[in-house]
Amino acid sequence: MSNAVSRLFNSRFGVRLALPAVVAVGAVGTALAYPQVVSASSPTLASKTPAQLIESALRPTGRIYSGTIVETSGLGLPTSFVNQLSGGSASGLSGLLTQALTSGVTANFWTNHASSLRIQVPSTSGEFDLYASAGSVWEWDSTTNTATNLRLPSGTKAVSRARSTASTPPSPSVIADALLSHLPAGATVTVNSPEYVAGQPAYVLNLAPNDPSSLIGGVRIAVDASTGNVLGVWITPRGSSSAAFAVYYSAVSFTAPSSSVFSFSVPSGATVKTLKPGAVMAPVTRGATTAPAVTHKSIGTGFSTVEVVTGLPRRPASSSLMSGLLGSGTKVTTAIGQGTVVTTSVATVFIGNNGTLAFGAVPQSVLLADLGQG
Amino acid sequence: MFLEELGYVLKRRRTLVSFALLAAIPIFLGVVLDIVGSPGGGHGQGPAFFDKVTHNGVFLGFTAVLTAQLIIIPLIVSIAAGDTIAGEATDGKLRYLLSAPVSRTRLLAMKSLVALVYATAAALTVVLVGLIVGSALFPIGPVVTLSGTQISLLDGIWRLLLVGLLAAASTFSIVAVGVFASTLTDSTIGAAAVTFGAVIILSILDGIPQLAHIAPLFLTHYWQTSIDLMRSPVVWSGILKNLLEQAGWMVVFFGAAWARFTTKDVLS
Amino acid sequence: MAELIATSGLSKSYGEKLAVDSVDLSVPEGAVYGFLGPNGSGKTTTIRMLLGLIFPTAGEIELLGHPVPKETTRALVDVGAVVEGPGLYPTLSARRYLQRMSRYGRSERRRALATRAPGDGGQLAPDIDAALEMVGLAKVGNRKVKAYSLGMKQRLSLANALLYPRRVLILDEPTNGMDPQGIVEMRELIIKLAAQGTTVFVSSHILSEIEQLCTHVGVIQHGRLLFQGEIGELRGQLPARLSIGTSDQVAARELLRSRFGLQPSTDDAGLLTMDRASVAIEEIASALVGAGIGLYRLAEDRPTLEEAFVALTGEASDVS
Repeated sequence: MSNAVSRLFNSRFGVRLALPAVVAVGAVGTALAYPQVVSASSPTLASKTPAQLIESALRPTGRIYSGTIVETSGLGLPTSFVNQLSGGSASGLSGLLTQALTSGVTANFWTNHASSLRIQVPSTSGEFDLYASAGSVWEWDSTTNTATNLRLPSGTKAVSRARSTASTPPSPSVIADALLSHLPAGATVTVNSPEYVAGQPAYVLNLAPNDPSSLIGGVRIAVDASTGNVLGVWITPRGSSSAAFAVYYSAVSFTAPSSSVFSFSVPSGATVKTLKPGAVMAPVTRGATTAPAVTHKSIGTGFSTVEVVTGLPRRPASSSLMSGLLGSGTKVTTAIGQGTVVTTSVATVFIGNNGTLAFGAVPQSVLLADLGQG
Repeated sequence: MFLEELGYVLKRRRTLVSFALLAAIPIFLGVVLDIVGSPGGGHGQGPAFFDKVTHNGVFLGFTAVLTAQLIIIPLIVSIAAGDTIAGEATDGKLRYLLSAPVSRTRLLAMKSLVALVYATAAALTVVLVGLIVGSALFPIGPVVTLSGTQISLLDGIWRLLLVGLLAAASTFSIVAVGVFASTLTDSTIGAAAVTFGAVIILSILDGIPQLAHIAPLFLTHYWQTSIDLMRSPVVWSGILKNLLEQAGWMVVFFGAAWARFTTKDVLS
Repeated sequence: MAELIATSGLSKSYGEKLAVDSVDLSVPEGAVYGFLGPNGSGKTTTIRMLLGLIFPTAGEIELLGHPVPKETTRALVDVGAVVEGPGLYPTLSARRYLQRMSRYGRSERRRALATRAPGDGGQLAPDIDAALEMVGLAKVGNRKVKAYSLGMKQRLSLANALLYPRRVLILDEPTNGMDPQGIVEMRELIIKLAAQGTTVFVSSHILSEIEQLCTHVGVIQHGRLLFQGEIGELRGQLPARLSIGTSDQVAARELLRSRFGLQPSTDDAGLLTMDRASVAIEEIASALVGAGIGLYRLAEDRPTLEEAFVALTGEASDVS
């Protein structure tokens, strides 16, 4: 064998083969190593303190107008739950939600930061779109050839709120803001070496919970060095090196998009559905009116805080999501009654039969113990 | 020499049978849809755009080429590429071609170029026959993109053409692999079988989650991105990755074919 | 005289097997060079190396002054070749086949011709009709090749070599599969081309086929070139023989032995035969007659090429 190899490389063929072989090795190497090289190649940035970074992240100077958001999820949801989810309709929003919870979603978005937002979720066989502008919101699903109009009554507070919400994509900054503005005292905040995120040099904030009872091992937040925009959030479970949940940009643009990307008119031949806001809100409102007063309290501090909500409707919305969740959990008896516990790699949820909901980034034992104290 | 080779290849019976097979795909799809009608429900079953064909004949071209792109076109291209050198080596024709004052590099380049043209013609045949049959059997008009926006008929046909060209470009890596295989053997069938087998194996491996981190290296990995041309705005990143992928495979395998052919003892 | 084909130390091995072993060919311009050897002796391997089809393991080749394989293309502009049987496209007609072949290497031909002074030989356009005429296929030139006999296919291969006026023709077993009539025509054609100034390098395992047309001969066996030179030199390898018939063979034998130191032996016909040595024939004649021995035959037999070949290789030439 080695004889044959040495003959090959002594031969003219072997010599000439060296050229494409080098190219092949180079190409394979580049393709495989590129992500590692890019993440390893650290941009050179002036050092900043955590406080400075948090400050700039909360008050970005430039605005992201378009780009691609990647969401990945490895929460470790119970298999029976996942199966039940994917057993349902795979298209439209609920399909996307399932996908977001179980594996991940990649979406392109455009916004003018005033009145218009467009979200595009491409798939290999089709596309799901959200076109939101000037009070009309269209949901488009190419696989079912269906356009759904979410009609908002004009001139109400809801419209302006919906508009402002609609013009902001669900970006890493939403999550980062929530984390940073309620920065838990029980975390050690450090600044990691800078990285490239979405091609931008970025500072990386690292939040490490001090409380060993928290399921969360660390949170990394990438902050764009030039604009202060949050470019990504990665949540890693304790004892793991890969993120259980991440939202980050893979591409960003800071220039306003052409208005044509926002325009939508129902194509001929499409099925048109209309969803009135009443219909959207109905389950929530009904739940709110029939339930006794809803109360909320927090037990513990920092990353091990457990939120407890009591007084919810006895039988929560009979959606497939909820019944799937209940079916996949373990039945437990706690100090405050019977219920079901569902655990994931970064959070535990208790759904009580008496209308209590408790959740926190802690293991089941801690959650149940906290309930006993409360 | 190029025109001679192109004319020779295109006039072969094997070529005529192959192209008849390619043309049969849109004809078959179109006739079935015309008789049976659009599939009910339209939940994106069947090939891409399959449920839209009866509303707009232009989509027959899309459906046909996106279907043919997966098996038939790679098969036909594998055979054409596997034939380039091995086909001449059978019956001792290669020694006479090389006894003409033609450099091996040029002979290989020209044969490869003809195979690339052949691959392009194969994809465009499906597209054009699809367009013609589609417009004969069904109404045609402005085209609805995957994003739900409407583009003019002309723009739609232009994008159909681009999808066809991308389908062709997606097989350029196959041409390179096939030409290399063709320099290793005197058997067209052997070279074609190895090439097509490699394509099938790669497309199977492409679907295995455990191989996800090396899957982007597979020549089949970005084939389905040509559908991104039908989005509004067009999503170019995947298409560009596909072209880069194809270029990479071409450099490596045409390079290997060159190394092999220019140093090979022609015994047949 | 310039050498149009020259090799030195040309060798080719396949693994452990040495197919061609240090062959030094020398083919002068204007020669008809017969490359003789039994099947499997390395003829075809040598010819393939001359044409750049396979690469030597060692040694140098110059074809028309161009090193091969480095400048194979430039040399081949002026070379027509038939290599080890025809390689044809069954579905093409003879005319179409020649047209296809003429389109290969056309730009290389044009480039080579552009550097030549006008009238310095070579033409860009192939003469398909003339080539078909020369090999006797003009009447069936439009018929598909798959309908041809092996002999006709061989002629078509030769027509391909004759598409242009060539300085060198390299023909590997060109008469393979031909009927006797074809072999005669082939021989006449080679003689005609040689008369026009074409250097012909023709291989064969049948000595008698090329004996009458060659000016030079190379004999190869087991990959080694045993002899190379003008055809007369090959004959000269063996001494001429005398055969003598007299009225008294016993006395004649004694006289030849004592007077001239010859060692006659008696052949089947009762004639005395012996190597000629350096004795003048007329002296033998007058000595025999002077001794009163009746002389009815005194002949000097030049050895045949076949005899020379057998003496050289130890086997008959027509072993296939």
